[in-house]
Amino acid sequence: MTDRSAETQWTAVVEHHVRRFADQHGATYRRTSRQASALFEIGCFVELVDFYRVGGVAVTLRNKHDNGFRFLTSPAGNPQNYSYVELGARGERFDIRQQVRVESHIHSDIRFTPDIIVVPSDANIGERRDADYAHGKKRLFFVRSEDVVAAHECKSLSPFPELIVGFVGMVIAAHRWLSAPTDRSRIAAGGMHLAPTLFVGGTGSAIHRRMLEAMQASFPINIVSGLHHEPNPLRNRGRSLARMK
Amino acid sequence: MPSIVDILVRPLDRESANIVRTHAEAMKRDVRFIADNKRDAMAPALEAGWSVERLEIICDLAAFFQDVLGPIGAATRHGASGGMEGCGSIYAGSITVDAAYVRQARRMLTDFVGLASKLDIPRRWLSTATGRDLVYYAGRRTND
Repeated sequence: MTDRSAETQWTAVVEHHVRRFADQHGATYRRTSRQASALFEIGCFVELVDFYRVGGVAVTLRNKHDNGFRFLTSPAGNPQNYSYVELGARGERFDIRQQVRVESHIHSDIRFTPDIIVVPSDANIGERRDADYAHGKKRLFFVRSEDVVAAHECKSLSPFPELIVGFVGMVIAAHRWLSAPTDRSRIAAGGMHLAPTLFVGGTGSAIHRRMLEAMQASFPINIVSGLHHEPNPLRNRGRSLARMK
Repeated sequence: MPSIVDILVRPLDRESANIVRTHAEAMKRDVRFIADNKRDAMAPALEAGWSVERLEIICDLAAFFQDVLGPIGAATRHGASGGMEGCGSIYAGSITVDAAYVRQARRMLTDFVGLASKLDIPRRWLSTATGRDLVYYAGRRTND
């Protein structure tokens, strides 16, 4: 068989398999890009909840609806209308919420919406109207960074340097407890909470993985990559994960 | 003849399909650049049996896996209830992730990885960030 005919045959085999795959599974993977992002955020959220459960923390689902747990995957919704997870341990209670805006201690006009935050259960979710937001017709829901235990971000991408280093900016603006960017004083091996974490879908090359290690050694953060394909990524990392008291 | 990526994205809406096509094309440009301009870097992959055409097909598969299947895999890994037992079906805007969808999704992901395996494509290559990395891995015939 010539090289050309071998290539042609290989390509034909691939096409055959791919057509069958698309025919069999097209309805399952037919999702918009917005839905794909939402699915990834859900995956990260469930992974985080699993982290707490495995750590022995009591997990309670709150504000469930008739059809089950209602995830909030856009900043536009009123958090009170969506489900969330309550954590309980050592006499303390915390909530895991999605898409709640954080008003930074650095300046009150610095507001942004991490994909997931962990706050004390008694943290106030404020609301206000602002003429510069939706012409004042919609309410802005937010928590203050003073109340943020950890803010987590989800990116269904391959890790690249600018994405990774940009996460530090969010960590600085979202966490009042951080006295300096490299302040690791809250990191504790037996800590209940996961340190601020960037969840990334892809894996990246060897040099990017070195950067991830360096970032995690230098800042009070985790960068968990490979969520597209790795089963139990947080469980797999075990003791190497940065936890906080 | 439609490309592999065209076949895979046919069920998707135009925006999602274009995201995958753009991603695949960026990876393929990397591969073609190396093939045209860095023959020494390309040689190990060619010697291992990975022609430019085959690597381009892997780019199609990888872009589709990362942009379409990866997020679904992340959401369905723990099952419908995962770390939240008893929650039943789950909404995320206009999408429902319930036990039935989880089963379908897991079957789909298993089939896709199986498809790649039949073609002797390591699973890790499906997560390759760039065409350059793919050429490198193909030449090393390693998952790293």
